[in-house]
Amino acid sequence: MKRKKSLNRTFLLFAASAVLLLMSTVGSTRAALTYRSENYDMKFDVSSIGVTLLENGEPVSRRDYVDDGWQEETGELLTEMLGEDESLVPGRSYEERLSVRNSGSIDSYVRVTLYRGWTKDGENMDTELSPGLIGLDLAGGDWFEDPSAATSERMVFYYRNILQSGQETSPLCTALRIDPAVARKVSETRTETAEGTVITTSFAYDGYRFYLKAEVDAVQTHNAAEAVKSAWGVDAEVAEDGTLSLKSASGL
Amino acid sequence: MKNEQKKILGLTAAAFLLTAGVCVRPALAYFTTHVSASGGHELQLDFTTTVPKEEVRQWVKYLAVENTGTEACYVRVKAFAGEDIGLTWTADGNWAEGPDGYWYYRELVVPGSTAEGISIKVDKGIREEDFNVIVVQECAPASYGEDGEPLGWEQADWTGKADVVKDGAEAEDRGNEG
Repeated sequence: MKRKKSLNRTFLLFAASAVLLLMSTVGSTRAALTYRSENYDMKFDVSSIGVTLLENGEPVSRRDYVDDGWQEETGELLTEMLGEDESLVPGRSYEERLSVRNSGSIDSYVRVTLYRGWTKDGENMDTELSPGLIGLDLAGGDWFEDPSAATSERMVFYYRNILQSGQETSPLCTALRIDPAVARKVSETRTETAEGTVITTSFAYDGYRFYLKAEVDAVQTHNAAEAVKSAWGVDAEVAEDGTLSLKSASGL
Repeated sequence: MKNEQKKILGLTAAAFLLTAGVCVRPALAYFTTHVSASGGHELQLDFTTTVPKEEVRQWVKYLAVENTGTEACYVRVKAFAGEDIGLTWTADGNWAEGPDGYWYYRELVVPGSTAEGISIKVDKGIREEDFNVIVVQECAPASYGEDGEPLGWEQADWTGKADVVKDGAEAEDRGNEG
């Protein structure tokens, strides 16, 4: 008899937990059902994240979460760098101010990853040529680099402050300059012919296209350290005033 | 009895863990977003080609250097002769004498243009036999400042060395030597 009683209690407890589980689902469904009325829509500004990449103060690409969906626009960098019929001059400093705007409704932390390199066909990077000759004047300030993530082609920068909704970061970089050393590397090809040896010399960088790519990541500020770890895979520390820092990362 | 109670407790704990698991899962999703853009431009480089021109009239060599290439360049000239041969330079304001014996053209020589206005008067003294006065002309590619403007002739790089990557027969020879 006692055994039967305890079994009943077990089933009761199971039933109670099942109801609890069901209620957790039903609760949100009920909220959805009562959210709208026939007369008017109530605009609920739920937490939505968004980020925009700016070049020389103008938006280039953005990705914002709006009305239960992502709104994206992807543009191209460096389109205004050269005038019509103007050719690229090694040594010249071209304005290239990259910054980030928080185009969402919640505060966020942001980081920018820059990739640079040389390509002949526009698709594959040439690993023989030096990405270091594509120079960027880094502004420093509130940006700091993660040296452990750096390669010759890649640089990763973090904005140390909370980027509030609608705000813009200070520029990450201010100018781009192709090192004149590109004109010093030449290729010499010797070909034996019936008339003798033909030596052909050509610039190693001639006809190559330099390439710059900027990737912007944004993450929520709530539970920042965990969010940064989960989204970006790095160990971050957040000070009381919201300043972000990485373990083993240094300033610019 | 004790076993029964343990079982009940265990099952209850499992049920709560299940419920807790349902609640915890959404909290592990974080608000993130990302965006990117890229771009670039082609680099076109060409060799600077200059052609020296000399005209001799009445023991005076009139010099000129024409840029026949597609890139602007700086130009300098120098003359060599025996010790007993006197050389007297005459140049207009476009030329400046350097401390190294070279005469430097002050302006950038753009493609298709010619640096001229310089001559050498040759004094052979008492010399009767044949002799040579050799004029050497050199050019250096134009250098540009950060503002995109060409640098002055004083800032031309005459010491730059090409980093040559050899290919073909010579590269093979060097490989064998190594």
